[in-house]
Amino acid sequence: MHHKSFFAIIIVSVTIAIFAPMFLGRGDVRLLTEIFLVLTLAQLWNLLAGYGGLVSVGQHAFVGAGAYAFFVLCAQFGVHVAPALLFAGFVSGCLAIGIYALVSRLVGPYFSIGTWVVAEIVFLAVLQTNYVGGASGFSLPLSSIREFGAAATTREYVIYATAGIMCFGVLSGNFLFLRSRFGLALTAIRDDVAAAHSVGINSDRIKFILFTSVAVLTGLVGSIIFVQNLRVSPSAAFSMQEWTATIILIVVIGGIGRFEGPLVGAMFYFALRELLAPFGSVYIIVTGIVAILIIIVFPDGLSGNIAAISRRWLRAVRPL
Amino acid sequence: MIISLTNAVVQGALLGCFYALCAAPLAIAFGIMRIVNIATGDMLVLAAFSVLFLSSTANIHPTLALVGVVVLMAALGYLLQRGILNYTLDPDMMRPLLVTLALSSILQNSLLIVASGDSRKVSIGGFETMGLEIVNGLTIGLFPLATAIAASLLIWATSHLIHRTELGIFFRAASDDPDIARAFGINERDVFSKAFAVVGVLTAIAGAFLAVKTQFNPFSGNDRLIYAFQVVVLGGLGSLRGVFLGGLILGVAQGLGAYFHPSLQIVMGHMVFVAVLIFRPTGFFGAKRN
Repeated sequence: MHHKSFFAIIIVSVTIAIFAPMFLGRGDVRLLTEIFLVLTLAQLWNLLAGYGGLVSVGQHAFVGAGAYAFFVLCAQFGVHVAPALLFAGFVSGCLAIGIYALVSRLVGPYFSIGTWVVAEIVFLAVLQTNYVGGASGFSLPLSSIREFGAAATTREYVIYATAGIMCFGVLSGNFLFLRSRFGLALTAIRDDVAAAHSVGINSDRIKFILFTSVAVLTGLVGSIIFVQNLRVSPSAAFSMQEWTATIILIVVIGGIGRFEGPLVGAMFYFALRELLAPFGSVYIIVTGIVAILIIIVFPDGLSGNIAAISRRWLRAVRPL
Repeated sequence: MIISLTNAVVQGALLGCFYALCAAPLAIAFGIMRIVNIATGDMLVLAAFSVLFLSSTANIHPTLALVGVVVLMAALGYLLQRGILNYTLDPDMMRPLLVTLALSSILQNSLLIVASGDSRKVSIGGFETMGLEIVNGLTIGLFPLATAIAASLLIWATSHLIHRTELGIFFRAASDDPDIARAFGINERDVFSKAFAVVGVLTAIAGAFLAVKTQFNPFSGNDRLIYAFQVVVLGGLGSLRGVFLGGLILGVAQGLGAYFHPSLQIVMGHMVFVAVLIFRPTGFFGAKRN
């Protein structure tokens, strides 16, 4: 995709997103906020795993760390929500440096479960810390909530806007990043480590930077998610199912290592979830089954498959 | 003081045997098929639920129900490999990992729908609370002892199967070099399906011990996988001898942690794991393989 057409699409989408809440109910705005946040997480994981080859299954550590850092700063230190948000990303990044030092020694799939085990250790540490409310967690104080807006509707719009900025920001950043020197180096490493080394790419350094920056942004998303919930607890903030497994399934369904993969996957996931809403957790089971089928039948995901079919179509309609 | 410390070590070692038993399916799936089965814990929980349902609906003793569950899990393992995992045999091992991650979500939420989120336990008529008093202050529970014996026997038997039988030679041949194995008439897909049936048998037995030992619910599989993974890393990836040692290290670490303070039990286990990760990332029996 060319720069021009990509940013044209982004500008149109952002314009629609700015005015959408005027025509939507509060429930729909909340749903859109959630879609933005989940899509951001999916993009970040795709960058990490699909392009960087760092298949982490412990990203919930950073969602939880960001959320807790934000809540602690607001509730215990009375910091304003805006600097608190930024600091939450910083804390998450610091955690990532420590975690990376540990798990980078593990190779391949053992790196993956290593990230999970370390995430569970972080979860356990938070669970046993009475300062942050132990197993029951704690709520965001009213004064901090008001900093997002006095009225509930203003507040929801501000949170919606923050989530939207995150989502479109990461989408554009992702697009530019993959075309930068760093991004090209990253795809070179993914495709052939030895060849990348031979042209002077330092893969260890790039992977470290990628892991840490993705963690910073994941922590930011984590704090916004729990601003919307107004309450944080260890089991919700460090949920492997919600913040890692679901995100991975979304990317796998959409197409891992493809720019548009997370977008297609998230659309599929939310459509399925809303469709199967009356049947409890059935949508998770269906998502899992679809993901397995995709891995076996279309390893490039739905987006890869759509691209292949549309290419075939275009070739068919082209005059001979 | 000496007695209570000995007690902590002995109880920890017994617990470690249970961890080793639960980790064996993970170690074998990795050792032979190079599959990191993220659904290991959920399959253990599935086996535990199956023992519970079979014994309560057919009104039979859980040990008898275990026979049925062994057959069921072996069949399930075989079909899982044959129908799904055989299509994801990659050198980079990422596709099977993602498949088992999806399987984990499917199993957890299916169990939630079928069995609700309540915590369950299987009772075997008082045996699980009986103990053997060695000296005052040191009592060995009969059930943990039985678990330790079962773990030793099973891990020995599996090791024998892999290293001393014809089927085991096929397993190792298909694992080490599928191309050469094929030249000798060994179909790695067939062999891997059989190996996953073995994994199913081990999962069923470990799951039955889990069902009696602790409370379990549809989401208990996560913790089980984490302990199993720690055991496998502590012992060295894919080594069965290592699994036993890794289990003992984790169990004794937890036992000593609990000796100092009850809340330190799990923390101490994690700390030992992190320390090993820092100082000896290949584990204690880790053989370097490509």
